[in-house]
Amino acid sequence: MTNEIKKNGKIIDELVTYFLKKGHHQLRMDVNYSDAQTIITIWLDHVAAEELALIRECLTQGRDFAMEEYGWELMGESEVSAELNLVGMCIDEVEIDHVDENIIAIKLIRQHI
Amino acid sequence: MQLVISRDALVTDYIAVSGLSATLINVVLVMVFTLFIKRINHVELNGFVIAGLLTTMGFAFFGKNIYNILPIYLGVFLYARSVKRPFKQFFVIAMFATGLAPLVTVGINFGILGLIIGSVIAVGYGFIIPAIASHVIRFHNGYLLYNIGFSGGIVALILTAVLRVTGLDLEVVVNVNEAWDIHYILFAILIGMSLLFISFGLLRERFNWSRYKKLMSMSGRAVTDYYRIFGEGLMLVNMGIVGLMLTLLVAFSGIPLNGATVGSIISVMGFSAFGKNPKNIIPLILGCILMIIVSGTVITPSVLLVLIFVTGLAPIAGEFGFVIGIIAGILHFSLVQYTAEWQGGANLYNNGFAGGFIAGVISSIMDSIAKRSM
Repeated sequence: MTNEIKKNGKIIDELVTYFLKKGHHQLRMDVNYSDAQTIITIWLDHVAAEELALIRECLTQGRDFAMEEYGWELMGESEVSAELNLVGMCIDEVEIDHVDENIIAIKLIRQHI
Repeated sequence: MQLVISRDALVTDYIAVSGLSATLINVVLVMVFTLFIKRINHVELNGFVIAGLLTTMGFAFFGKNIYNILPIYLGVFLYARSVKRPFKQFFVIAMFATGLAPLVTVGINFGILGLIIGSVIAVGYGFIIPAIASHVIRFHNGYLLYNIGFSGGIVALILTAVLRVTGLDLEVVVNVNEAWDIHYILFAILIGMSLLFISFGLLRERFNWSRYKKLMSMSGRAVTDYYRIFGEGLMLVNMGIVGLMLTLLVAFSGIPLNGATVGSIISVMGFSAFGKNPKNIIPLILGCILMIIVSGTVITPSVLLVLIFVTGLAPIAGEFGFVIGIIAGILHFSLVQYTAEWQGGANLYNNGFAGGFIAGVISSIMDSIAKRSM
């Protein structure tokens, strides 16, 4: 695949924009980039059950190479709109875990195919 | 045969050219070819693919035929080979790219040589469109659902200018069915399709109003795939509802239904799997109706196409609200009157071309306002 670094940058941009807009003004993120894959982990405080369901719905859609090719440049571009659909289509695996009562960890794995 | 070798420029209703039977055969042939390509490339179904399939089906009523779409598929296939990626990644782009199928018959007055030159131009267009489309999408930031229409329009604009400078003038055509007996058959087809979609959707899944409200709460900005997010039951219901709305709007306008209006409604039903819903299309249609009333515009088949295809701006209304949606409809209605002429009718997605400018302008203004308030 081409533009891997750029695509990862866009995914991070969209994620950060989305969560800041949703009121998560304190979030931590870890990015692990290698030749084979990128792993992005985000820790969030106080995510409501309904919001978590929406996040899960968007991020577990499964990777779609055609859609990724078509729309990856859109991620992080809008000041107004931030949705996780496209991020979900650029991701191979998602793990969402409760670290403790208040904090959830979202781990996104993207293979560099 | 008359259908295949017609000029195909916007708006050439194949029902007016060759009759309803030949048109329906063309629709079947185009769909068999498209579904065959989809199958051999193992393309999975999603909202984007459904939008592409129904758009292909819709435009097979007025402008796409089994002959003029082939060179564009070949061009996109050659592009995929050149970048060493599977064609399946570009299949949907190829489906939409056939909106410039009239390029193939651009030199039809010059006989076989003209057709060969037109085909070569179409192959070249297919080869460059994936790269242009991925770049152009940033202009409107996904607030227009017809990105290939906008990208293709830019290519058509340049090509038309070159051809006009060299002395070959391209004209916009308006040749549509005016028979009322055909109107009733087409009305039955549209109502039947819409009700089928709703019925299948309800069979797949019991209707849940709160889930449908959630669907309508999404802006529809690219990429919003209702099939993936909400499943095929609710998506089919949404497609059917939008189809019914538009059919009733157009059927009682006093103008007989024709291949172009039927095809455009089918296409919009397809995009109701990929961003459109009643909430984000109504303000745009109201904006157009307002402009029709204020300007005293006479309702014609071309005006009805604008009413239907203004819905390509659905993400504008979905994201920025009802009033901005009405303004977008007003602006679109005004601009689209001129853009078909700019492209010499070579781009079947004239509303997509005009909509790109409106989406780009409105979204950049709204983004700028949002930046200041952040």
